[in-house]
Amino acid sequence: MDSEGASGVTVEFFGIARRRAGRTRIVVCQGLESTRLGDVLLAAAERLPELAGECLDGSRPQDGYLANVNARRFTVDPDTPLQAGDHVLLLAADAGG
Amino acid sequence: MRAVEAVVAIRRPVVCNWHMPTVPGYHGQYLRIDLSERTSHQVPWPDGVLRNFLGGAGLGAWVLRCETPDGVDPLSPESPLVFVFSPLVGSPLTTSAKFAVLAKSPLTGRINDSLSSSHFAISGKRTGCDAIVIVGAADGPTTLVVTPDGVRFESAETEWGLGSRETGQRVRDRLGGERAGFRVAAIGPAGERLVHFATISHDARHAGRGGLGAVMGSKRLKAIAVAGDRVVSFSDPGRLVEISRDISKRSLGPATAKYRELGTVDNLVTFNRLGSLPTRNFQAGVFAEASILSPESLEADRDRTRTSCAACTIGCEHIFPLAGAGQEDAGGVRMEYENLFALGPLCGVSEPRTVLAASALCDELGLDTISTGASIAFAMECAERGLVDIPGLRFGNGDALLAMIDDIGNRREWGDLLAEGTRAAADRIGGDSQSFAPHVKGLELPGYEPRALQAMALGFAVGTRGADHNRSGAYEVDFSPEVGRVNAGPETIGPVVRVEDEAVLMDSLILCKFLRGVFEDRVAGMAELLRPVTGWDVSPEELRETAGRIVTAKKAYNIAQGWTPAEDTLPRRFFEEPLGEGSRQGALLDPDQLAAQVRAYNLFRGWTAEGYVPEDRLVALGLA
Repeated sequence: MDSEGASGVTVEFFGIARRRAGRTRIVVCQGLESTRLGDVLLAAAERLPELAGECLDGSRPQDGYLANVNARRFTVDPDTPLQAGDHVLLLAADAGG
Repeated sequence: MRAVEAVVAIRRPVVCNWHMPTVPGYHGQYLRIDLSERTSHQVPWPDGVLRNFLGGAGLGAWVLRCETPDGVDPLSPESPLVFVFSPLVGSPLTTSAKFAVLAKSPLTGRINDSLSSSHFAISGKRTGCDAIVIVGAADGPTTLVVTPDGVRFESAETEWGLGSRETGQRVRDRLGGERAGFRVAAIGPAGERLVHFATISHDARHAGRGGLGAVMGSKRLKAIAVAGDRVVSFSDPGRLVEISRDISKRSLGPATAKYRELGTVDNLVTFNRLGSLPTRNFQAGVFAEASILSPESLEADRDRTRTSCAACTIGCEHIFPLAGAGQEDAGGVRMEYENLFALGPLCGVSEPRTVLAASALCDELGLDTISTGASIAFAMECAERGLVDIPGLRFGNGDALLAMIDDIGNRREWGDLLAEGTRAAADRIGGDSQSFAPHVKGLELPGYEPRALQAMALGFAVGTRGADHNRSGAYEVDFSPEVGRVNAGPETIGPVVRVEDEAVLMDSLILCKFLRGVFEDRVAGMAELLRPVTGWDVSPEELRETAGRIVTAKKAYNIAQGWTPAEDTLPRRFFEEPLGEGSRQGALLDPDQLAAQVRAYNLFRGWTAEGYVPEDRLVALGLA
C-alpha cells in the first residue's frame, strides 16, 4: 500500500471500485504541486487497469460513479483542479440503502 | 375457539367483475374485509382513480384517505389497514413483485406506507383484487385466508405468540403446503404487543417502518394467507416482454453491481468517510470502528450467501451466517445498511456477531431495525446523561443492546416505554431529552446524518411519513455534483422535489429503487413501461403530475389527521450541536435556512408557504 503521507494525490476506493482495485487507496501524481482530476484518474487506471471500463471512462468516472474531493465536493469534471495532498474518493453514485 | 372456521358471511359483489372489461394490469376492484362483522365484499374503483394513483403507495393513499375517519386512533378497530398491489405485479418486469401496506401510523399519527417484496404480492394479486382493505377487529387471534372464492376467518390461537416465520410456515402447512400455493404475511410477538414500530413479515422480508404490525395486532390479525389463479391481461404483451428483457439485461450491469456484489452494507464505510454515518445517537458522523463492520470484515470468518426477492434479477440480499466458520449452524440473517448502522454505530456497537444477532432478534420479534436501534441509542444517551437509570445500557454494550431488543419486543420494563418510540419516550423521560430524540413526526431517522447531508435534512423535514430515506431520496442530491451538501441555497428545492417525485412513482408502480440507475430518464422510462401494461398513452409529463397528486394526497391525509407546520423540522440537536470529528467537522443545520427551504418546498408543490393545500390545488389534482 502506498503511504498516505507521500506527496501526490491519494485516490481512495469504495465499493466496487475497492473490490476491482484490490486495495483501499493508491497515491498518484507524485512530485506535482497541482494537477487535474482527469490526470489523477488516468494515472490510477494506468496503475490499476482493473478500474478502466467499469469504474473509469478515461479521465472521468464511469456512468454510475462519482469522484469526491477531500470527502467534501462531489464531481465528475476531469478539469477539477487538485493539489498535492488532496484525496479523491472514487465511489458509486447510487448511495441508497 | 375452533381451529378452523367455515367460510362465513361473504358478501359477494353484485357483479363478479374479473370477467368485466377493466384497465389492463388491474382487476378493477379492491376487497374490503370487516373483521368485526366477519364480512367481505368487492368494491370497484371509481373512474379515473387507477390512472390518477397507479397502484402501491399511490393507490393506497387514495383508498386510505377515503377509508380513514379524521382523528382516528391508529390502533382502534375503525382504523383501516390496506394491502395494495400494483399494475406491474404479475408482469415479467424485474423487481415488480412488490406490494405496499398502508395505515395511520401508531408511531407518528400520520400516513404510513411501507413497501416490501415477495411472492405475497404475486399470490395476493392472484386473488382477483388490486388491494385488500381491512377494518374492524376480530374477537380473538385470527388468520384471514383470501382466495378468489372468498374470505375465511380462521382461528390463529395456536400461532399467537410465535414469530412470523414459524407462523407463516404453520399456516402454509395447514392450508395444504407448497402445492396449495398460499403465501402468508404475519406479525411476530411485537405486533401482538402493539409495539409502535412492529413489522409485518413474509418470506423473511418485512413491511418495516411505522408500526403497521401493531395496527395488524390491534385487529388481532395474526396472519393473512393469499392464493389464487386470477391473472390480469396486459395491453401489449409483446412490447412488455421486450421492455422487460431490456431492463433485466441492464439490471445485471454496472448500475447495480454494488448491490449484487457487496449489498448496501457497503454504504457504512463510505458514509463514515464522508462524515455522514450516524453514530452514538447522532452525536457524531464518524465511527472509529466502522471498518470492523465493513463487508470484508463481516464475511471474514463466515461465508455469506446471496439471494433475491421474488421476480428480481438484481439479487441484493446478502445473508450472513450467525455462527462463524466451523461452528454449528445457527441460521443466517439478511443484512442491509440500515440494520447495520442502527444496531451498530448508532448504538456504538462494533462487534459483528452482536450486530448480526441483534438484527436476527429484530426479525424474529417483528421489529423495525431502524426504530429499534434508534430507540435504544436514545435510551443509551439518556442513561449516560443520568436521565434514566438502566443498568448496563451504555453505548458499545452489545449484551445490553440484545437484552433491550428482547425487552422492547416483549414490552418488559424499560422496553415497554421504548416500544412507543423515541418521541413518546422523550415525553415521559423529560429533561431536554426531546432535543436529542432522533425522530421527525415520531419516525426515527434512518442512517443519513442530516448535518452532513442537508438536502436529506429537508427531505426528512417535509416527509409525509416522517424522517425517511425511501420516500425522499434527497441523499441522491447530496451525493451529486448538483448542489453542495452543506449550506446549499434555493437550488436544492427543485432536485429534492424531483427525487421525491421519482420515488413516489417507483413506490406506486411498484419498482425497486435499486433499478434507478438503469434508467437514463427515470420518469420517461417508467412511462414507457406503463404503456404496454395498461394501454394508457401516458407521457412523462402526466407521470410527473401524478407524482405531485400522490404526494399532495398524502399531505391532505396528514392535514385531516391533525398535521401542523411545526412538525416539518428536525430535532434541536441538529441545529445546536456541530458535528465533531470527520470530514464534515463543524457542520450544523441553520434553523432559519431549513425553515426557508421548507417554505420554498411547499410553494414548489403548489401548497401554501406553511404547507396547507389550497382548495383550488385539491380541485386541480382531482383530490377535492
